[in-house]
Amino acid sequence: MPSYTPAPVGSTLALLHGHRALLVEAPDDAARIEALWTTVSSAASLHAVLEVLAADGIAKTPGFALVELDEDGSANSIVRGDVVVHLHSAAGERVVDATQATTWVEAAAEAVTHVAIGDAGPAIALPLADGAAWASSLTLIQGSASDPAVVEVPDQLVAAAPVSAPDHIAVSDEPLPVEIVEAAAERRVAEATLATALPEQTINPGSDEATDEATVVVERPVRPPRLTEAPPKPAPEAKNALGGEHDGHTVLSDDIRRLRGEDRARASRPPTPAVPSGPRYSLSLSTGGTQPLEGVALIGRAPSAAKITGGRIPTLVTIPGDQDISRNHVQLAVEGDTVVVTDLNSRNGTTVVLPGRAPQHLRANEPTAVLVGTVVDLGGGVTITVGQEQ
Amino acid sequence: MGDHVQSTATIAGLFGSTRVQASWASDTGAVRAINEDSVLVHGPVFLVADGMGGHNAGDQASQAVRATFETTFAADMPGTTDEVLAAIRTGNEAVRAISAGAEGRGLSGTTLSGIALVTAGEAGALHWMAFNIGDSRVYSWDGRHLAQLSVDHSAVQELVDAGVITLEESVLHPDRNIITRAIGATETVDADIWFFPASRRQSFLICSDGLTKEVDDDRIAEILAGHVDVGGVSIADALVAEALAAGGRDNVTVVVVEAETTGAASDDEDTLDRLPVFEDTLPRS
Repeated sequence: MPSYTPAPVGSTLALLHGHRALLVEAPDDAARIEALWTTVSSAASLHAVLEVLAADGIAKTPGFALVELDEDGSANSIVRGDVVVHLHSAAGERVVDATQATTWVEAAAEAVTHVAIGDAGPAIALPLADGAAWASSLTLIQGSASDPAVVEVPDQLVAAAPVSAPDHIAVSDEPLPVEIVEAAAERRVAEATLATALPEQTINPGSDEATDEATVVVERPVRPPRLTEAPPKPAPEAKNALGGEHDGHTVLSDDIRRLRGEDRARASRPPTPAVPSGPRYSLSLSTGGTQPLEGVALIGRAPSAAKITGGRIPTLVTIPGDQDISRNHVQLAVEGDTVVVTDLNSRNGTTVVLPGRAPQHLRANEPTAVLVGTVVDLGGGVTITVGQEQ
Repeated sequence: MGDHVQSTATIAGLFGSTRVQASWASDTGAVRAINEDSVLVHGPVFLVADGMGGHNAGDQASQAVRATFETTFAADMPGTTDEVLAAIRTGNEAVRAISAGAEGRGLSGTTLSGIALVTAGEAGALHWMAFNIGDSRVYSWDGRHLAQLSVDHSAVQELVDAGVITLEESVLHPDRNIITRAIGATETVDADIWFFPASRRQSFLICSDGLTKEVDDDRIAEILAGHVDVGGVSIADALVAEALAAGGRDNVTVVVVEAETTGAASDDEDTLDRLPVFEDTLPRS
């Protein structure tokens, strides 16, 4: 059974319906909550919920985490602001953190066992059926037909549970897969134990070499010795698995285990970040040609990009000939299901024309969400039209 | 003894072409028994891989990555971003296969630093794509200034970034041989990537840490600036010789790439201010 940890009225609201959950920061009025509930509880796509959340523009969109578990065991999430989502699967834990994103972060994972949304803290988790509750965290558990769940609500929870939905909110009678909350906690412990037993990914120099000058590999982060208490010793199995001498350089930390879990989760995904089932966008250039927009496109007279880490490689679009166009002029990116345009502090600026709207001059370095049909004007007659591929 | 070679090639793109002259040299050094560095100067790609791991696994690792890149790229055509990324991925799998075949005798891994001339986007403009995993390095050289382009994936780099130690202290730090990312260390590996347009004259230095741990950047710049090709001694030879003279405690590998791009759509000119267009008001007829 899904569970939540209560929070003060007006803080963060959890909306739960079937396999879909939304945790949203400080929704300010009843009409907005009603609108959110209507889309969350409908068969509409996550995209539709996102549209309600972002109805007032990117700047006024609250922090939120929107998660949907699919019957095939996968989970989709869209996260904005300070709310963090943990997608747990047998392959490890995927942390979806949007604190660095100007818009939102979208992440999916396969074979998800449970999803933790927000920060539970030390509070006692209470069961939650469909409905809404002021909550600091929500936990969803993947149910499946092959995994018959046992309903066993511990005594101390019975008094407080279940939380009923507010009157004006319809409660779905769709049966939910249920599982006791403690099982999730146990699973988490089991995962942690597994991680400890994993052999170290350390490369040791052979003993026939000058050991003190040989390079060894550890995974980040390495902490300064003066800030660390006695560095944790690697497990004895790890040393055996390597069969080499240990030179004491290895640093093992929770962060490394966490990163390792992320590595495994990443490995289970296709090598190129595929654009999920959402809309596929394209760019039509006035200088000729149409190309798909996947991830980030950097457009300019001579575009360049510095130190890209994490695999989101931009597409470089060179617009030759017009010296009024900056080397790096404008960036178009797919964020979630939305196209976002950012003027890269270009010398002569960028104007966008949304369909049926007046031209709008972009402020430098300020991401602006646009619609299909929007014309991005770089000046000098050079335009890029955002299209949608069927 | 070390190897050294010079080569010249012309890589033609859709718009413009780049003439590349490269010299490279590699030496086992004064202390190590074998040279675990590998180097590739082939068509549009120039790279150095510094292998590590006992029982010859290190040189196998760096050679596996070298071979992957060699088979991926044609000799006279620019590559693509996807080809570079695919080669890194395939190289990672190849090195992990070597570790798996070693059956507990130790994991092997390798650094990878280099540049590739690629076409980007549909317009096919020529770009340099620099890539880095580990603590080998890519520098750019404009005839006066040596600029380190890549950022080491190393313990000391993290300490420098965190402000715990200074760049000067990092040179002698006891953890200076710990790298935090390597090909073969994890199931998947992310390289740091840079893109910049190929334009006019551009020079690059790609090297293993056997050079940079023995010779500081100022001295490297002096050698680059003062070198004259005489008697078959290339710039790369001169740099390797300097590292050996300073101790040669590690394998030393250096590639110097001098490129000249002509006919490219992009150029180095500054962006101009767009002149305002004044529209005359027409008299009402």
